[in-house]
Amino acid sequence: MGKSEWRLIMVLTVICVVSGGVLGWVNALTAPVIKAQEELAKQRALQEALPAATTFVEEKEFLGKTESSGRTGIVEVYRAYDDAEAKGFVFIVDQKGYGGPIRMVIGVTATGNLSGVKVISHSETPGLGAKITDAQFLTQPAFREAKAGMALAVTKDKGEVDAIASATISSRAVVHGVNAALSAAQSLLEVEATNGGVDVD
Amino acid sequence: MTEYLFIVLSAIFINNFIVARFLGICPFLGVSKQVETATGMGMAVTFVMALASGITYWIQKVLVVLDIEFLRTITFILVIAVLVQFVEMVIKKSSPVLYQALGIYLPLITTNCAVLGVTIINVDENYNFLQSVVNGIGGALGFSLLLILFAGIRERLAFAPLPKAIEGIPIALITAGLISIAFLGFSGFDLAALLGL
Amino acid sequence: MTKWQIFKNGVFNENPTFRLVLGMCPTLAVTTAMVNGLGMGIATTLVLTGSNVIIALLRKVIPKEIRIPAYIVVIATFTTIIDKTMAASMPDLHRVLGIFIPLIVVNCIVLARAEAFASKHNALDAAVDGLGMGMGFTLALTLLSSIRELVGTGTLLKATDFGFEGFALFPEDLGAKLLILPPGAFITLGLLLAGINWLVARKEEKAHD
Repeated sequence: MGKSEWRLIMVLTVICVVSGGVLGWVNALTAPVIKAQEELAKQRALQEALPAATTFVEEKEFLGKTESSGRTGIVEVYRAYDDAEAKGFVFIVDQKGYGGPIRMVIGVTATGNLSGVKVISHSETPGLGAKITDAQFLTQPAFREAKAGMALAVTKDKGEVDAIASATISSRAVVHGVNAALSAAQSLLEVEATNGGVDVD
Repeated sequence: MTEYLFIVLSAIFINNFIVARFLGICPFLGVSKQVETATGMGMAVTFVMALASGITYWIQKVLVVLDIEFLRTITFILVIAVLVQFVEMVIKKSSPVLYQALGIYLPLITTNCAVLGVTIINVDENYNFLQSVVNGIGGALGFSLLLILFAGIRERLAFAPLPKAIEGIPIALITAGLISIAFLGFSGFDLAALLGL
Repeated sequence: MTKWQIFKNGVFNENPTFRLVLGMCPTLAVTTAMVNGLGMGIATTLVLTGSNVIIALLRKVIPKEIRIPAYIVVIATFTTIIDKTMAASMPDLHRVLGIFIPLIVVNCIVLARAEAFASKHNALDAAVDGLGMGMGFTLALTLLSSIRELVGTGTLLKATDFGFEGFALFPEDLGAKLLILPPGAFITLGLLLAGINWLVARKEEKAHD
């Protein structure tokens, strides 16, 4: 190789090394912040679904036990506590909506009441299906009065949940998610009842 | 098998790169004046997107192992640039006919955001090797389909009497909007149920 | 050219979106709400200005044969810096803009300015050019996204992620939803470009008289 070719390689290498170094430094600065942000966002979502609790411990065994977890769409399960007192469960559930997957966080109290539903990500049609994030839909009486073990349905399917106008598929997806959480909560609560409560250490 | 069919069909119709994801708009507007050139561009993009999807799958693996994922954008774009150069050289040597058909489009592909886009989507969706390649091909087929359809319309549009201000890009964008409305009909189509997944 | 002329050139005469028709993908994709358009515009401006300055500083060092890969490395570096900083400081906006943040690296405007301007001028001029072009891009994105948000949903500058409800000008149900769907992006931009072409043509005609 001639002298000029070596120069080409040298220059390009130096540029790459410098940019790699700069990016490494930027990454070292931002990575912990990004991680903390993600944690915070998750904590906030969990707390919104079950406001009575302050700490959430992931329950990994439950999903392993239920073979059908793939069908229910439950992705993560958390036991919720407030100062060591068990407050219930929070479920992160994925369901297929109209435009793509809908991910929601659903809380159920220790007494088996649905405490909150929050949609954290979706790709539904703006102005139609996207209204599943509205409080008007998520805090309607049918959801507020729901209990563990119940199976809800939208009015079109002869149920009690008022679906969003012209967005039955999106509404149905949320209802399916809620049902999955309610039935999972039912079995978790039953286990606890037979064990006489859970140990909390 | 049906799983791959699902990826291809949704990349073509439901999450079409042009009308739903907005990737690759520049070549879509730039090389869509004639059906013939559109076909050439479509073939070149399909080839590069399939290769790029496959290669970046392994690169991502390496980045994860070395814990330097923050270099993803920079390595992916460099790999695509090198790949395009390499493909150009190989085609030039091995098949002059193919080179004549694709040659002039190849250099344009490096900055086609559909290529970098599909490699990032593959990582975001956690696709395995085969799924990545199939997604690359599906995305490119959807891109090509739209490009050729659009070129067919624009060939006729060239003869339409239009106000001066709306000629060229404006009417092309409005036409693309109308095609996009047609493709909106596919969104929400329950492909998984149809394929029995 | 004075600094002001360079800046003005980027914002108006050679506006990257309306006059040069570059960087169409983010323009169409993220303009569903004004905040997104504004955020994308500013992120691109930062990358454009940063890479312009570095490339202008290195213009005598980088040999002609390898300038394109060298430019790409510089642009990708700035893109990643912006990507990481946004993820750390405004995670919600970062998530909404999603894939289009790393894709700034293939935004034709950035490479075009590196090649056409930064490689031939000093760092200060290159910075002004980057700012001007970036502002022109931001202006176009903000204009397009404000039309789409207003007509589509009846609000302006709504940013629930920042806890700001925006200015509601009419009830959401009266909005033309098509505008915030993909077809609305193409049609609104097409009409906007036609309108600007018409204005420019009229201005030129007047200048002739």
